[in-house]
Amino acid sequence: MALGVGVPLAFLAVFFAWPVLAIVGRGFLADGPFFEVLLRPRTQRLIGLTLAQAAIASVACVLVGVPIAHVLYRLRFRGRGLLRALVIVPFVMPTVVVGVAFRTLLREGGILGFLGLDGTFAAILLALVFFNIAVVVRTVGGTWEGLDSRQEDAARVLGASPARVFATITVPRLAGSVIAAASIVFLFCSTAFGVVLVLGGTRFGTIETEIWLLTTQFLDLRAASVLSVAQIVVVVVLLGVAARARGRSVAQRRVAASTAARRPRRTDALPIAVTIVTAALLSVPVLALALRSLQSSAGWGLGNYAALAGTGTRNALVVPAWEALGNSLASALQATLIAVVIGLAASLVLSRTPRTARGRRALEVFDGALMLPLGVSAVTLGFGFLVTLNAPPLDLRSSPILVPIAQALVALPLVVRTVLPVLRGIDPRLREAAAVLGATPGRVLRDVDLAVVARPALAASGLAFAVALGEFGATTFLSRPDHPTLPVVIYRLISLPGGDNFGMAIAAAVVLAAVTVIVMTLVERLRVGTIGAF
Amino acid sequence: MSLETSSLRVTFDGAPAVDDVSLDVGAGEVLGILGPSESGKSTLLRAICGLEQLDSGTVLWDGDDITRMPVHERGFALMFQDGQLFAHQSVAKNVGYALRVRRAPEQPRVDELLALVGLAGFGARRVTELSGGEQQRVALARSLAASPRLLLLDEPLSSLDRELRERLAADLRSILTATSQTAIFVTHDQGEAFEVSDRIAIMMDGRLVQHGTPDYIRTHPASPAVARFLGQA
Repeated sequence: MALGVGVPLAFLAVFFAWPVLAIVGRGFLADGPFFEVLLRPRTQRLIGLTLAQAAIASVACVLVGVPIAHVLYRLRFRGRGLLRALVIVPFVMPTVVVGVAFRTLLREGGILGFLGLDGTFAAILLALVFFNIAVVVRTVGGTWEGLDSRQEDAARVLGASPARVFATITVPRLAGSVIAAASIVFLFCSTAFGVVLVLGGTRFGTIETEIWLLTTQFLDLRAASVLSVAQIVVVVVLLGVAARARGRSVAQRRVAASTAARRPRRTDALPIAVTIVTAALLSVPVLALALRSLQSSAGWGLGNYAALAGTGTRNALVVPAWEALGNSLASALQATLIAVVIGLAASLVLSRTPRTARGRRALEVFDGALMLPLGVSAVTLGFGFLVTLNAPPLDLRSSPILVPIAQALVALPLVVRTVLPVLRGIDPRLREAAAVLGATPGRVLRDVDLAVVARPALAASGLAFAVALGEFGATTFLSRPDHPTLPVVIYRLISLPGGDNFGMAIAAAVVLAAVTVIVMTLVERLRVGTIGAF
Repeated sequence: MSLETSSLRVTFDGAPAVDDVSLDVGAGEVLGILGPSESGKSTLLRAICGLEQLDSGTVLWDGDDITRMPVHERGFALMFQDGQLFAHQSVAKNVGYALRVRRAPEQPRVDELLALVGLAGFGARRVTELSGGEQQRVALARSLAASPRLLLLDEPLSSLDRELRERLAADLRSILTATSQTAIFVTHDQGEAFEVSDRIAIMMDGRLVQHGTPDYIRTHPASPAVARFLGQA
């Protein structure tokens, strides 16, 4: 118990709280008024853009995601498993890959180039929705799947039309999970970095890209700190909303998923149509990317992939792209190990119900602390690492371990949200039964908790690996030029266009996407319902 | 005001749950369907009110074919074994649900029904605060609210303990009689069935194997299987 609290807390304290607080401190303590930065017209415009894009994208994700959740979690049909897997893939796609995919699709000469959306606000919105539909589908679907459909039956028999049943019975019971999902989507969108950086050009940005610009281009660390503080405040508020909504949705009695699902009816036509169209739209950017990767300066073929063995036109890269893939895999593996060990230890503690009110309150705070890295911008984190970990007592700046640690922090909340609901679902009497039969506490942990959580933990490892592999915001700060990861290389290649560089970037994006898809397909085969749900 | 079904058939993955069931219920009559668990009784009720898709057969109301009529237009009510009260609504809101759906005045009728089931003054309570017996009374009041043409009761008492069950069975009978409610009452408990119903149909393995008055069935079981089932309880 002490170890389960101590290790995660120590890890969070050193590698999360310290760097982030250092940034917060800089924002407050630096000379010059704090609010001056916030009052700059440029800052205000970016805050407005950030909030607007997050709000619009969240609403769009809910409008599209809820019908899909109905189809994928309430109806029974062939190919449902495949569709569920397809929907989660965009969520773990590396942000840079999605950015490149949308550029490829929308730029002049691209498949959807005629829409003239390249470099527009709409393009950013589309990409954000592409990413986050899975959050709504998974979160709402996971709740919906366990809701007793006889409640709806009862209302129908009492004379309520299908629309009325939906509004008066289904919506109130789903509201908690919809709010939780929407606030998480809002969070992801308002801290979006890679996609916005690639698609936004110079005209559009978020607080996140601005922090990056201020830090790396203008070297205005004070302004960057102030923006980080503003962002952290928003994030904490949103996480509070999500946690409350989650807490409320627990009150529903759950039934076995198999009893709730039914065969499609004619009244399901609209949600089914939404699902089919969305699934098609989700695959378009990926297919466009794959197609374009086969088109190099030498014509159709594998030229772009062959070029990955080199360092690009005008030596854009320090090391060959393939070497960067190796770095990425090694780093993601280490990050996974860290995130899963710490996430599992923390979840085991969080799954217990303390007897005192104070204990329960402490656990809630602990739970919230674990979720924070989800929302505190990866850029802030990477920036914080640079500020704090470059001097004694901890001089890790030149150490390659920083990248996996930062990636592990980003993956940690996802591990907890996958594993914790499963552990909480264990009937405490099961542990009591084992103990009464003579099992020692360690044995109970092994035979009950760990036995039940083995599969979800494996699935969480896959998810953590995929997320770490694609992590860009923090990694871009921390990776050294001679030791880059693949997402960093991709961004480097597209920011130095000309020659074979763009083609190489696309080929590298396809490789990264392929690895991600393979990992997520394996994860999906484990059939763990809590993956990607909040 | 009468129900007639002919040759109802419902299958799950090819296996028949309800097989060739024809029955009729006259105005103000309470038909009891008695049978062991898993004999298809609940599925039959769900099929009659349209919640279950029929493989074949027809449902007639006063001679009109309503087989394809949507559930919510049939004007029936179904009371579930576990009540299925809406946990996010108060007792009064639950009871008034069918009235709100029909835009009918709610308050006086809700009070009247709560008094009828012996829960006057419970309107503002949360349904989760109620005991099992109180929940089933609320479920009954909710089902009666819109004066359904036909009330379907699916094991409404079986989740309760014995003493309460006996008391509620008597209450149920008097409420159904007082309101001249046409009803089908499904149960696996013959004491309950005999107490509440005017007429009994025995259901086994998805089929109706015998019809008759309670006295007749008790004294003239149609087959050794029926005799064994009646002898057990």
